[in-house]
Amino acid sequence: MTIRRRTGQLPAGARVVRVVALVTSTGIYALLFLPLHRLLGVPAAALGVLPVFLAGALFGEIAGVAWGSLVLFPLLLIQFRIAGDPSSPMGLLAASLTCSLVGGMVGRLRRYRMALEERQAQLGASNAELATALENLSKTQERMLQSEKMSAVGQLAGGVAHEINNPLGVILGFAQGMERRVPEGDALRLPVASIVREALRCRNLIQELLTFSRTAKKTTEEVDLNAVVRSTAVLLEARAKTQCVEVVQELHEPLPALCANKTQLQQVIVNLGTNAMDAMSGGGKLTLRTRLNGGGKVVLQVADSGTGIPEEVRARIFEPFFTTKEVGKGTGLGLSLVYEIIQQHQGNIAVESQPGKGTVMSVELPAAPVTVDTARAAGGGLS
Amino acid sequence: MTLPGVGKSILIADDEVGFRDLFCFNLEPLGYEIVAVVDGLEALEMLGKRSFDLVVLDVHMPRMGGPEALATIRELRPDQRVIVLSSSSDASHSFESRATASGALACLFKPVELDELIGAIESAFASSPTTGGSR
Repeated sequence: MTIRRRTGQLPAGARVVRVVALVTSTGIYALLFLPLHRLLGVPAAALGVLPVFLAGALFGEIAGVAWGSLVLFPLLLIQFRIAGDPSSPMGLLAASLTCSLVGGMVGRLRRYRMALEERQAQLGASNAELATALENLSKTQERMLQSEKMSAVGQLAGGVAHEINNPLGVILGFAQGMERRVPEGDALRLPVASIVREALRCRNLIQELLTFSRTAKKTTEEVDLNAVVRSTAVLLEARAKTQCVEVVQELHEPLPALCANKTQLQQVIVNLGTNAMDAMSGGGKLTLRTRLNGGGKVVLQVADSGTGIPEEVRARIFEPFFTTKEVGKGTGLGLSLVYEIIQQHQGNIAVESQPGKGTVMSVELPAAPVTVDTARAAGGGLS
Repeated sequence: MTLPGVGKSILIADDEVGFRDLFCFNLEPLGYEIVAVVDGLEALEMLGKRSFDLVVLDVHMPRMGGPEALATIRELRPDQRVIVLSSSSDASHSFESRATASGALACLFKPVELDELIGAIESAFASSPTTGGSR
């Protein structure tokens, strides 16, 4: 639909059409109604009402009421005189004024209605646009809030982890030293071994926290996602075998290079893969898939045939320290770390899950900007 | 039973008393002679008085940190065996390669496990003292 800037203006094409219609209606009047008038003896003014009305309407539409009557009146006067109609000039003036006034108003009303409809359609369209924008805004806000929360938690956790690290190192070191000296069967063996075990658990958590808070400082390079998936799949397969999970790779070749941190990408795949396997305790299929999407972005999917994620849990899975695993099994940092890494890479992560059927985690990453070398190589390949 | 550390001396510079005590507690029973100091300056002072078979330097210390101390040690004793012990906030390949490039035989990150520490110390003694700078 074309959008008119002002309601009072007709497009040029429509003006031409109306002028032609005006001329035609006057012609019809001359050709049809004058002979009719001669034949039947009915006053020409009575027969002329319709075309005059039409002409008035058209003129009213094109030029306004005043111009309509100004042009119509001499026209009618001449025509009626030719026809030998006895109507008085004042009567004809009144008739042409009334007709063009009414016609002009009808024309105006018609145009207002048209303009109104157009406006309505415009309003509807911008309403829809607004709704989409609003939705995007709230999504962005949600994402911002999430990443805000992440970085706040990250900084806090990083600071705390760093402070705990050294005292923990001392505790762990002494405990391991004692463990070496306390002989098997000694009454102190159990407490010492417990201290070592729990200190190691703390250390692992601290390491995860430190990785989490350090994600911003990593260096990036050109990375082939398929190669990273292949090398990481080996790590996942070791565990997959123990719980009857089949690891399938569906890799799209060739993929454009990513500008990414390889270790972090590996971590993303390991974390997503580990989570997927946690959801398939009774065996299943873990699919590592890569593909290109329409926007020239590279997509990594980790799909499982596991238990799926219930709706109420899905909203929280990327929250730091949120876990559904039992105490001691999960730190609640795995997926938030994935989220943080994807954010650092200017990517997106989406979750699709059907309880009882499985989950698909889709990571979308921008391809690396084409460097001079690769551009030359591509150009060379074409020529 | 022969202890691996008999006749070998280690100088440890760490500003945290916990780590100094920890080194003594875990390494002295293996026969090593341990001398612990609190920062890089004290380490250099100690090295001016006598020689050690191995120096273990913490990275972050008041007055003088490990890397600065290491640079001076390299000038004084080019073939001194040195291990750098860093906090995990530096844990990265670039830090590790910088440390080894400046002549450390190994770069460990706290909290370091006892086995890892002893392994690093043993392999430091297994290496000839001159390799430090050329690795």
